Amino acid sequence: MKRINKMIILSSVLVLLSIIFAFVLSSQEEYEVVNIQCDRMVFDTLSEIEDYAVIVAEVAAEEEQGQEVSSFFDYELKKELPSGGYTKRDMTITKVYKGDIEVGDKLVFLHDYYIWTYDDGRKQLITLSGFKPLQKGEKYLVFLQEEYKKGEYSSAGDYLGLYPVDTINDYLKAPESADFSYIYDMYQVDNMEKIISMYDDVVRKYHKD
Amino acid sequence: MKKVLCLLLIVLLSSTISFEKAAAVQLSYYGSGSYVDYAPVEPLDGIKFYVDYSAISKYGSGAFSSAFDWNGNYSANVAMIAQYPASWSSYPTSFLIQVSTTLLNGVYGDTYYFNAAGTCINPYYTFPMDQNGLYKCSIGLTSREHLFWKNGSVCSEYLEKTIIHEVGHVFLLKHPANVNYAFSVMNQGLPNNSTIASSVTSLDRWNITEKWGY
Repeated sequence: MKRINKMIILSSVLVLLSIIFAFVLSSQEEYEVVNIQCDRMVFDTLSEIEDYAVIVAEVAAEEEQGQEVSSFFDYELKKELPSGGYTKRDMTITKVYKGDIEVGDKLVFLHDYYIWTYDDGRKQLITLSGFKPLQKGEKYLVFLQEEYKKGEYSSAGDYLGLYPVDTINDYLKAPESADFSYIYDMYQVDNMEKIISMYDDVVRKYHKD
Repeated sequence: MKKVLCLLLIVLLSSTISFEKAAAVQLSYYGSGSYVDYAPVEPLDGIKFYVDYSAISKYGSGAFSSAFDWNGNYSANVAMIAQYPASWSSYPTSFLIQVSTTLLNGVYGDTYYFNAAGTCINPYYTFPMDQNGLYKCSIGLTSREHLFWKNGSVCSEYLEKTIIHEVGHVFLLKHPANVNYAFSVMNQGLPNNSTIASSVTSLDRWNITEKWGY
């Protein structure tokens, strides 16, 4: 009897460990990233983005709240293909520079990336954005534009409307060693000059003392 | 004296050629990729599009013929633009142009690239236009027509610029890296008088011919 009890306990622990392990693995899953070419509104200066944005604030990124995805049926390939999407994420306001909001308010941030699952179970992270998914708990200086639904916003000018507070502080101390890894590498090749120019202006105006 | 003059001429010519080559390299923005041999539609045979109901009902049928703006005295071309009410099933190999309801504010249009299995192409760190194995594309336009407004209504110049821009991506053109020097329809944003053209420019055509030949 004692031996059977021990076996049951051991099996239960093993099952529990497997579940935990699988959960940890899935949450750390790395997807192949696909960058979609797009034509979007551009801003040349910080003041242009400031004027255009309805909210300028420091925010703390919170949980993802799901995604919206669109697709179409391709008559030649006879399957559904992705055509667009975005991910929703809660944000909490921690500082206000512009807009009809207060510290502590919550808003929903729309980021134009989504996970597409193919028929065979493969997944891709498909993105129109130059910056990678935000990190929960991190703080960002954001310049936001309104989306269709009240309370939902996206970044004005994509990566030009979003600055991790840590990177701003790094840039202030030592520009050459600031960490821009939150931006996809192809944007570093194409637009680094513009990004650095924006950082100069952002740091001068919004840096933490 | 003649020898000196000849030498000076040679030096002058060499530096001119080097400068032009350097300028050409700086202003080239075509990808190194290609469509597969068995792609049903590709630039040298003539790209074919199908504009679906969503795009026609949102923007009308007139603007989409602007895609023919890419055609010129070279091989790569747009061969056909079929439109709703014709059925896409009658043109199954044509590249789709549709309105994408999930494009966020500020995004005028986008271009997707697929391989023959229907998988999106673009391994991390690269551009899809630099990939071989391209099979088909699809173009999405914003559902937010206010992005194309001028004086309260859709400006055809703005809409057509986005259509032409996205078709340029189908030709495997990228966004020019040096936006301050390239007057091009491939620059992002609404047309201005300095860098963002509303239609295909001579620099765009130079890139087409560099990529696809004459």
